[in-house]
Parts: sequence; structure tokens; C-alpha cells
Amino acid sequence: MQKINFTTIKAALMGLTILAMALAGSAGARWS
Amino acid sequence: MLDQLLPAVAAALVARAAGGSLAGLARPIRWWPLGLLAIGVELGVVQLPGVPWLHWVWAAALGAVFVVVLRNLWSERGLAWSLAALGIGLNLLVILANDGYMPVTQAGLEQTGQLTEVSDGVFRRDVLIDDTTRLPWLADIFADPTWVPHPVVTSVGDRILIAGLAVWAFSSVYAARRRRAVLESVLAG
Repeated sequence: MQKINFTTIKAALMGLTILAMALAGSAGARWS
Repeated sequence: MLDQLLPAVAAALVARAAGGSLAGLARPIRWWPLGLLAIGVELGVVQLPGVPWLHWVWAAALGAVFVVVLRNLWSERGLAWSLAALGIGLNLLVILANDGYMPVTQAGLEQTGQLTEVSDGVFRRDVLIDDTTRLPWLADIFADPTWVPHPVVTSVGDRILIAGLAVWAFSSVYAARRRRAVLESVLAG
């Protein structure tokens, strides 16, 4: 079984957080 | 909406082309679960029918993101978090000055095809700009061009925030260039 690369997972999670915060913080964004 | 994220994605790719590593995105963000929770709340709220206090839930989620950004600014004191704090702060300012709603121009809603949604009765976080609007220059006044896939109307604060995230993406990826170089030299034997 391939070893899970935690650095990759963490990078993805932090990148996702930044993108989520960009959307949540941007009052002009809409989701539809 | 995703076109708003393009500057950050482009900045990351430019930094990658300049020798950076995308693994640099693993740079820690303090209190990040709160940031993810906030967007979860916002995504949930916009699915609900409009009730009088719901826009305050949405504004509170925005406030939570502001807190996360301030927490990170406290630790890092960099350009990226400074811009993000300024952008979200300006958005919060105009929203709080207008009873929890984000004012938006009618022309902007028309140009981005949202005018029909206003009459549908679903939750709206925005309200049309009129003579009673406070700080209208901080409101949603910049409409995306019609050729953009999902055009939105953005504010000065939105644009500053987007710039801040692009700086964050670039600096995170570019700062990892040395680690990547070392790793590649090790792999090359």
C-alpha cells in the first residue's frame, strides 16, 4: 500500500482553506 | 464565481514556473477550520428561503473569516494578510453600515443576469443601492463583463482581498523553491 503523503494532503487542505476564505470573505461572490 | 479565484491560481502557477513548489501551499494557516466552517455556513444559508435575520448569519460568517485573517496577520505581519484584512474589513464596514446587507447597483445586477433572482424570494445578502445607502463607494459596484462564465458584482474590498490572496499564493509557492531544489538534487543522486 502506498504511503500517504501528508505534505500533499496538508497543502491541498490549506489551499482549499484559502480558496474557501476568498469566497466567504468576498461579499460579491455568489454560489449559483 | 470561480473567476474571482483566478488571480490566486495564476499567481501560484507563475511562482511554480519561477522555480517554486506547490507544496509551499502547505504553509500553516492559523484557525483554518474556522475559515472552512464559515464558507460551510454561507453555502448553507444561501440555500434557505429568506427570513429577516438570516443575513446576519451570513454577516457573522464573514466576521469569522475576518477573525481568522486577523489572527494570521498577528503572526505573520505580511503583505498578503494585510491586504486580505483590509479587503474583508472594508466589506464588513459597508455591510454593518447598511443593516447587515451588501448594497449593490441595479445596473450591476442587470449586467450579471441576477435581477430575476431578486424576485424569487430566496435569501439575498445584498440590497439595491438608493439614496439612503451608506458608504456606497465600498459597495458592490464593479460588474464583471458579460463574457465571464459566472459574472458577479464586486466591491473595492473584494478586489483588495483577491489581490491579497494572489500575494499569499505567490509567496507561499515561491518561498518553497529552495526546498524543491534540494529535494531534486537528492533525487538525482
